[in-house]
Amino acid sequence: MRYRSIDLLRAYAIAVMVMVHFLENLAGTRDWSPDGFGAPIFAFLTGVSYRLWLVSRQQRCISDFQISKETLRRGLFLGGLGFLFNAFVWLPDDLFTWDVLTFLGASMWVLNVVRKMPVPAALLTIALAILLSPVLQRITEYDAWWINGYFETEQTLSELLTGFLVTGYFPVFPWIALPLIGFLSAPALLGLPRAPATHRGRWCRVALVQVLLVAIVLMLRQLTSWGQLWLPRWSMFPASLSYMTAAPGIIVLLLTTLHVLLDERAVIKMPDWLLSRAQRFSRYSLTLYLLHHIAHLWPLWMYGLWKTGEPAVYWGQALSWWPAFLLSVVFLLLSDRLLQWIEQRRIPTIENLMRWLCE
Amino acid sequence: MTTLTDHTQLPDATVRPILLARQIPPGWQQQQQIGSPVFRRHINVGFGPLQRLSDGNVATDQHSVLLLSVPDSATDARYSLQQPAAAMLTDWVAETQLEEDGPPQVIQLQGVLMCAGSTRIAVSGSPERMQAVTGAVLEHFWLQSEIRRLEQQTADRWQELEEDTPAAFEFTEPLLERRQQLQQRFQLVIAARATLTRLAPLIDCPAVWPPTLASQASERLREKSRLPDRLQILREQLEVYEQVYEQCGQRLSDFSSSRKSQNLEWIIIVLLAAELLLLVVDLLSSLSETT
Repeated sequence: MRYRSIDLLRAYAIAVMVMVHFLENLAGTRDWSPDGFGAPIFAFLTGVSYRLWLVSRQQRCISDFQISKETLRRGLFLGGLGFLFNAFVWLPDDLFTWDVLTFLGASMWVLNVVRKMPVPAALLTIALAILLSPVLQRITEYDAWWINGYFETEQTLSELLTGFLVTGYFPVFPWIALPLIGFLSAPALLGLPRAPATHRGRWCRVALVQVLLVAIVLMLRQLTSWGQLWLPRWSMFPASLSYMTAAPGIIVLLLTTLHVLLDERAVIKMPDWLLSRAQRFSRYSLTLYLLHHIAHLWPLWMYGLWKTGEPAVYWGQALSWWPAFLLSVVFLLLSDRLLQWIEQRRIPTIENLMRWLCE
Repeated sequence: MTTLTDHTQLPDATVRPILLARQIPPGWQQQQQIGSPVFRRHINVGFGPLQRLSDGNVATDQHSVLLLSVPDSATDARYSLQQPAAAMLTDWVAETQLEEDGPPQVIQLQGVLMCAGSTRIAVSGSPERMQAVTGAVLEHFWLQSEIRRLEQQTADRWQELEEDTPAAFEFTEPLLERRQQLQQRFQLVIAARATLTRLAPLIDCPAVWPPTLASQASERLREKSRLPDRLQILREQLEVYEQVYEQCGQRLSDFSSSRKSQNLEWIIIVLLAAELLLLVVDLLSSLSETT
C-alpha cells in the first residue's frame, strides 16, 4: 500500500534538495532557498520506510536472519553508492565528506540493531544521540573542521572516523536520531498493526512540546543577552540541539496531519497531476538524488576543466541566483518527463538495482 | 396470582411467572421455603405478576419461568401419563421450547405429573403433593438452566481456545496486545468453574434417606436430564480451558519479567556504548591533533 502522505512529503524533500543544491553549487548562495528541511525529512522517512518494509517482510514470514542480511546489504549498497557518488559525481578529493548516502547506509546498520531493541532502550539511544552531540562537537572542535562553511578532512583513519561520527556533512551523531524516530513512530503515526491509536496522540503531544520549547528557546536567544550565551542556536551544520529537537517534532506533526487528511479521512483530494508526480518523485527519489547532482555538477566540472584546467574553479560562482533557481525548476520539470518515460519503458533504475542486489 | 385458563384451555389451571435470581427485585413476592436448603443458599425464588415476563430485561444470573399448576384431585388422575389430557400439559410446555434444548422432560411420580421445559413448567396432582414437588421442579429448572448456559458458553469458546493454545506454549511480542483479552478469558473460565463447583453438590448429592416425594422427584428429573454426566463432561472441558489459560498466564508473566530484565540489559548496553563513544571520540580527537 502506498501512503500519499509519505509520497508527498518525500517528493517535497527531494524537490527542496534539488533547489538547494542548484543554488548552492551554481550560485554559491542559500538565500531564499527552503534550506534545512530536505535532509531531515529524507532521513526521517528512511526510518518510516524501513518500518513499512520490515512489516511487509514479517507478514511474508521472512526469517529474522534473512531480514538482517537484507538490511545489512542495503546498508552496504547505500554506503558503497555514497562513496562512488562522492568520487565520481563530486571529485575524488571529496571521497570522505560523509554525505547523505553514506549516512543512510550507516543508518541501515543501526536500524538493524535498533529493531531488535525494546522501545525504552531505543528511545534512550535517540535521546543520547541528540544530547551527546553538542558534547562530541565540543570535544572534536567541530568548527575547526569547517573552512569557509565547508567540511575539510585529511585522509587519516582518526580524521575519517571523526568525520563519520561527528564532524562530516551528515555524521552519525546526531543525525541518526531522525531515522530512529521515524522508525519508532511510524506504527503509531500511520496506524500500523500493533500500535494503539492512542500512541499517535502521545507522539504528537511530545512533538508539539518540542516545537514550542524550541520556539521559546530561539525567542529568548534573540531577545536576551544571557540567551545568546547559554541557549543553543539554530544551525544545520553542525546540527544543533535546537535544530535536532524541533526538526523531528515538525516532521512528526507534518506527517500525522498529512496522513490523517490524505490517507485516513481523505478530507483533501489531491489533484491527480500532483499525486502522480509526487508518487513518481517519491518512488524514484534515490535516482533523482543522483541525477540532479550529475545534471548540474558534471557540466560545471567540465566547463571549469575546459576553461582553466581546474574543474572546481566555477563551483558556487557559475551563475547568479535567478538562473540557478530557474535551472532547478527546469530540471524538476524535465526529470518528471524522464521518470515518466523510464516508468513506461520499465527501465531499471538504482532503486531496482538495490532491490535486485539486496533482497 | 393470575389465571390463564383462557389461554391454556385447562379449566382449573393457574399460571404464575417465577423469577429465580440472587436478588429478587421489588414487585416480586419472595418465597423463602421453596426447594432444598442448598438450593435456597444459592438462589432466591420470587413469584410475580404476569406482565413481568414481557419485560425482557432478565439479567444473565436470573432465570424466569412460567409455572402452570393444574390441581387434580380426581381418583383416576385425569392428567396422568395414560390420560389424553396430559398431552395438553406437555403441549403447553413444548409450545415455547427451543429446538436446541431438546424435548421437555415428563415424569410421573406418586400421582403427580411433572413436565419441565426450558421456559415453562407444568405440574399436576393433588394440591398438597403439587406443593411438595414444586420446589424440586424449580430447583431442577435452575440447575438445568445453569448447566445449559455453561455448556453453551463452553461450546462457543472452542474456537477461541484453539486460537489461544499457541500462547500456552510460547509467548511472543505480538501476543502482548492480547493480554487483556487473555486475562478476560481466563476470568471467564474461572467463573464457569466456580459456578460448576457451586452446582455440583446439588447434582452429585447422595440420595436422601428416608426418601420424600420432593427428593425422589429431584433424583428422577436429574437422571432424566443426565445432569451428573453433563456435569462431568463440563468439568473435563473446563479443565482443558483452565490448563491452557493458566499456561498462557504463566508464559505471559515469564515473558513480561524477562522483557523487563531485557530492557534493563539493553539500557545498560546503550549507556556503555555511549560512554565508549565519548572515549573513542576523545581519543580520535587527540590523535587528529597529534597528526
